[in-house]
Amino acid sequence: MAASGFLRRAHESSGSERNTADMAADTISPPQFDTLPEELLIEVLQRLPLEDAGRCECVCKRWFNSISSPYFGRCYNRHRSSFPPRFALFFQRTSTANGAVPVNQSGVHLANDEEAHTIFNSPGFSFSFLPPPFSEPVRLVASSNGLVLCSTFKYFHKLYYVCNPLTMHWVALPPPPTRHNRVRVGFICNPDFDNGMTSLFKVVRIPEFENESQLHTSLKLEIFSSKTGEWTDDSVISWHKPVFGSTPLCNDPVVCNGMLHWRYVNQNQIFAFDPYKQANREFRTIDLPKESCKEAFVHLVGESRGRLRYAEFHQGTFGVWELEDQSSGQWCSVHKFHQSEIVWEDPKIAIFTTQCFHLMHILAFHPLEGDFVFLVLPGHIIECNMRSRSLKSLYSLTNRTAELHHRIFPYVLPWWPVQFLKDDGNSLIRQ
Amino acid sequence: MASSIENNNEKLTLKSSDGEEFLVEKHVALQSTLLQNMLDSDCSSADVIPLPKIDARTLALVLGYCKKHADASSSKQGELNSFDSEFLKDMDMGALFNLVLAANFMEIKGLLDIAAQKIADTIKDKPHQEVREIFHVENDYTPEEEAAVREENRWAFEGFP
Repeated sequence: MAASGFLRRAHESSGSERNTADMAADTISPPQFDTLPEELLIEVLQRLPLEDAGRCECVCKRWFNSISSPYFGRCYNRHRSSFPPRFALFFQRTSTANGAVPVNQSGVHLANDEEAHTIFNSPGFSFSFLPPPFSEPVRLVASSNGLVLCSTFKYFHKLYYVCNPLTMHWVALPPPPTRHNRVRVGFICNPDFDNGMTSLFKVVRIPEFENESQLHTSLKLEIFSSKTGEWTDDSVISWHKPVFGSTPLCNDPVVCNGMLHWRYVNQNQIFAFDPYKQANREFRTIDLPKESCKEAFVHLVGESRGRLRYAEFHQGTFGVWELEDQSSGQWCSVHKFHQSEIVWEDPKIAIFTTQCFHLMHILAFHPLEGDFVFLVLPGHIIECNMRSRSLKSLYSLTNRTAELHHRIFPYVLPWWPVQFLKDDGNSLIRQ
Repeated sequence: MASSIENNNEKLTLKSSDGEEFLVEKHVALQSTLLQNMLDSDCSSADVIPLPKIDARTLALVLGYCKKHADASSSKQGELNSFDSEFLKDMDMGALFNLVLAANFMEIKGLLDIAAQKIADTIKDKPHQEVREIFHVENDYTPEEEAAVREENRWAFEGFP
């Protein structure tokens, strides 16, 4: 990046250094921030709201070096960790028959109002910061640790890029090795705290089975690693119980504890795969909760507060389970209620009654609040408080012909934004 | 006042950079981790402890803070909070600066927290040019360099000229 060339990025300060600046006895003299030792400069700057800290990089080179150092990112996260991180729901709407999603019709909803940034409350939120050719319609695919994986729509999942919607920085990925008609994509970003909040990410393409008359007992995954800047397609996972025919995934792969989880339609188990471990060995299946109704039409595998969750709505009963133990596959029921218990307080959705509930779909779990789940009823994105059984309309899809694009995901912004790996990204195409 | 100090009313003498001496009750001095460590080791309370980095005006403020916090029982957090905000209310930037340096040197975490927060609050919502003026920081960027950093951080400049 342009700015990193001429400025030295500060190395980590030990924090124990105490060369307190020479203090003049004369307290009338104006304050000289230049005299403040590094640790005290950080002590002050880490208390700034994110945008203020970002602007302060422009004050002088010393401040730039302090704020852009990995050490600062760690201090900032530690200092802020008692506050809830900023969170939004990312979704797109489609109003055209062919399902194209114009950039300016993607939507963002602010779910917590603390320190709102403009990107969080603009209903016309766009990824227009992406320069051509990427400013053509994009599809938001997944989010992890404040980064968003996008794909061009025109050639289905032909090109991917990863961006930070807050800082508007992005990288393009090289084209994936195989062209699949139907593919689902998992995205895991693990901030590298030792080297500053630089992003290390993996993109995992899971092709859907297309051969109608075949028993599938293995699956070839394509994995992109930001470390190597390359796609590999040698991760083959196999299982004993075959999947038959052209079986799609129920919903997009879910990241939880560094593992990808997905479920095939009509399969009563969830597949779990760790892309950071060696292939073949790190593949597991997790049976759905015993008490769950396997025939439920409305269901979702998701994540909340670091735990895998499964929700279903069947014959008027809403149930949510949480995976207690990864290794034993032990689930526990966290919420269960009948639709007749639901409190319809919000006048905006008063037109709906319990009878309409069969039109409901489960969109996502709240990533930070265990009692909340996001639903959709025709024309409305709804927040459901499963404890009080109350519903609230979060977002009205005012144009009733506009359907909600099926991809919707919670976007949680880390306190200090994750940076892209710089200076070595020979395989990644940068702006 | 807490009764526990009645049998522990030792005093010690602190000396500021400009030579002024302050007689301090031991339990007040213990708010400072630096002094606590000195007293725990070989330093006798009879000695005069020099604080060559801290002037008399700042030391008086620091000791005022320490006394309030040493005397208040933990149940009076609300009272302490209002004392803290009143304590810093009309303080000029030079004094705040000296307080941060002194609190850091004497290792008084609570004071460092509130003084650093107060300085941060002053920066908040201000354009960076104004921040430079407030803190007398010299701009060592060329216009091109500054523009490049600003471009990298344009997300942070929403609503700023």
